[in-house]
Amino acid sequence: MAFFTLLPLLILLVFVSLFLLQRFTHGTTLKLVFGVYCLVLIAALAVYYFIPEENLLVIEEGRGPYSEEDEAFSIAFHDAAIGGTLGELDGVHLQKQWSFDVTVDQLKFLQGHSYVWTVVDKKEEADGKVEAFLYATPHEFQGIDLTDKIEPFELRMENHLLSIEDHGDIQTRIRVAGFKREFVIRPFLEDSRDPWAQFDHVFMNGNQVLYIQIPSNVELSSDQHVTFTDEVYD
Amino acid sequence: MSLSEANVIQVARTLFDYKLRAYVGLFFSLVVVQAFALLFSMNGVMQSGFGSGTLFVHTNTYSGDVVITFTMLWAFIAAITLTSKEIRNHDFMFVSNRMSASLANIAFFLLLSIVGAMTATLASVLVRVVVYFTHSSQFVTEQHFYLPPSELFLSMYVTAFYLFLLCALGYLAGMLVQLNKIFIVLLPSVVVGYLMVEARATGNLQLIEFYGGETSVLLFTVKAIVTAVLIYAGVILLSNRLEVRT
Repeated sequence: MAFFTLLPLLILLVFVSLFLLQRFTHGTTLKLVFGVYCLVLIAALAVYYFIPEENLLVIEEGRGPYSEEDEAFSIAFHDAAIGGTLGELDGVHLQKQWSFDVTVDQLKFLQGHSYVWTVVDKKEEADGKVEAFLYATPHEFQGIDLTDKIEPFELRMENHLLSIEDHGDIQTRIRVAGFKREFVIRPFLEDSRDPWAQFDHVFMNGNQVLYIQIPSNVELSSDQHVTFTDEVYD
Repeated sequence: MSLSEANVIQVARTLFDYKLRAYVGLFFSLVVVQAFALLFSMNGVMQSGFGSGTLFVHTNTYSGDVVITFTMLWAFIAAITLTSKEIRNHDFMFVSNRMSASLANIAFFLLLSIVGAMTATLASVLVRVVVYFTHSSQFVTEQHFYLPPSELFLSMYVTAFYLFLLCALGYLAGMLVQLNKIFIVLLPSVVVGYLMVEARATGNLQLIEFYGGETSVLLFTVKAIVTAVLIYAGVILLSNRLEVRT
């Protein structure tokens, strides 16, 4: 690790601060710096014990990633996406919808790096319109509702190209901070939980699906995985 | 006060007071080292990430390990610096002998260890406070965030012993080098070579495990004190072999 590469820097720091600064700086200044540092540490300790515990995120050990209820919802969500009835499923909301006029009979769909599940359904009529619907289920991380933080992406159509904007870099990112006990006290304290594995038990849930309806006279192709409803039913 | 009147303890105490005033730079260097360690700690000691189609969770695990490790190295280097010929000669501005000078140094190392342990432990708290205020609090996990006062005291206690041991090792290394400059090359070679051979042979470092793997505070204390006493006794014997300044 970088620790050993930092070692020479550390030794240099000690010697520079010890000899050069001591030689050119008045002792009072050095004492003042040390005093201020101690005050900062004591102030941090005071603040530390006033931080409300209930604000912190609890990661419960042993909570499975999915309950039976989650599993049932997942199946219902899948069936509704294929059947085009997502709007009728409880807990699913429409994030955004688009409608594009189409004059070509061959469309290429570019998903970019997006991980969104895309379902393509062919309409019965050739109405010259491509319609797309972005649905999302509630998004949750360890019981925290993040649905509002899930931003819908933009879909655009140019000529024969239907694409997700920004190459699909649409993941909502959150930063979670965890802690581990300092190595000097770890051996003395019983702790069955591996400090490195606390994030193995996190629970996150949430799905997004892009449902695209194309006219009956249009063929849509994609280099990436797309679910065609007619293939599912065949 | 003549040499005959002054007993060893009194001279050592005078020397200790002198060192406290003269080497205030050591405490300043402690601040500098811990400030850098705090900076590195803010990057976390482990990162991971996982995600679903729409959500990506980036996790960062924090602790005061870097601050404590840096403080340990500071203690080791600080002890070496106090064995330099220039500093040893300062001791003879007072009416002292090798024994009183060594006792004063040991007392000074004890003070450095206690101050280093307290500040390193409190810096671990500072890491948590800074992380709390720089993250959205709902994404700061509770596990090991709070160190109860008992754990803080335990951390200070154990760290102080580690620092005192490292001061002893630094003092020993410094004295050996003063005895013969060949130890500048010999010591790192032997230590690094031994660690490499042992790591390859056993997969871990038994010497470090002897202290770091101890699960009883009492046994750890006994091990640390016995080791420190042996090392300091060795240093006092060695220092008697150094030339007597008249």
